[in-house]
Amino acid sequence: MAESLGVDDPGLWGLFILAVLATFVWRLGGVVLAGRVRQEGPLFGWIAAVAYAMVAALMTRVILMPRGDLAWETLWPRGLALVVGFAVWGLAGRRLIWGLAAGVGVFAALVALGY
Amino acid sequence: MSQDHQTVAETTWRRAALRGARRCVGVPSFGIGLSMLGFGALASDLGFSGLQALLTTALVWGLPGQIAYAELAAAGAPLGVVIAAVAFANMRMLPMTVTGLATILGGRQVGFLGRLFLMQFMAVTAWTQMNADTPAMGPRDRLPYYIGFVAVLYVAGVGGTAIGYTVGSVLPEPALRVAVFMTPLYLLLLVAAARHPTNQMAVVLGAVFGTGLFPLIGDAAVLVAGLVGGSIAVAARRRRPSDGGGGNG
Repeated sequence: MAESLGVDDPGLWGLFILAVLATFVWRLGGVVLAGRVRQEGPLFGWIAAVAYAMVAALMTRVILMPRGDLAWETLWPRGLALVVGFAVWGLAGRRLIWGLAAGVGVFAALVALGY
Repeated sequence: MSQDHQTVAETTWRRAALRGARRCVGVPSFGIGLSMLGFGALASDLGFSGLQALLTTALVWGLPGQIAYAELAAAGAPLGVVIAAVAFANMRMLPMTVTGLATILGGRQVGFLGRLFLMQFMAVTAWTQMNADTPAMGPRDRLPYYIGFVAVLYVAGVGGTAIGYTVGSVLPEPALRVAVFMTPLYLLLLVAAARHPTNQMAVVLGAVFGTGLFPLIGDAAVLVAGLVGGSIAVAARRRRPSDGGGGNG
């Protein structure tokens, strides 16, 4: 438990506002850019592919190595649950709910077993 | 006559918004609620005030950036490091806004500030869900559908933060671990179902590069995996003109 950061600390609020802006700039840039990129054009297709790849990269990392944890003991149960989830998803005709239930189910079972 | 017209438009608007809201009840809102519950518990543990925990969720609205901010600010990291980490963690908002805006507007004209306001609520869950759901939908239904969806999602996220801040540490750690596992898996399954082959390939390459590079270059892996994976996917599919080039399906 860290010591209290101080609710009234103006420095922390300043940092907070900058952190909010650090996210806002991307949204602002996206809105500006969206008006200039032709939806059928190759640039839009590339931006979409980058977005898909970024989301997949982030989510896979968060599933396998949450908060940057690289230890094998926490990695393999997560990896197993991920593989089972996708295998069931594929076998069930890409029905999301089956893949999700299988993946979360396997992970819950492993956690319950103490892994 | 024109009054009739307006009533019809209002009814379709309301129906689409309700449909979006209903779509969000269940896995999406539950998942975000629990993820944000985890964030609320973390913020409380790190010593943030309740107001700041809530405002971080409400105004940043992107979990990786929120966690980067909370962890680094609490650790007393230098200002530049905190800002760069948050900006980095939430950089994916840029391509998601560019493509997401086109998806939800469906040809509607909305002013600049209105578009900016709408995109304040765009984040990974809404983006993937809109990509999955809107192609089967009339263009006019997309904006109200999005608004209904994100309204429920936002309430779940901010509510989850409040609950996590107050009682999060009461929840047993294994239960929280399982709950927090659900959202990224749900979103990964959603993007894996991308319609366009280019984007399917981008998902596979992004997952492989993102996982492989993370132990080597840390959080920059998301950025590199996105740019490299997305570019390779586009280049590889362009060699096969039968696919018809890029797209956002």
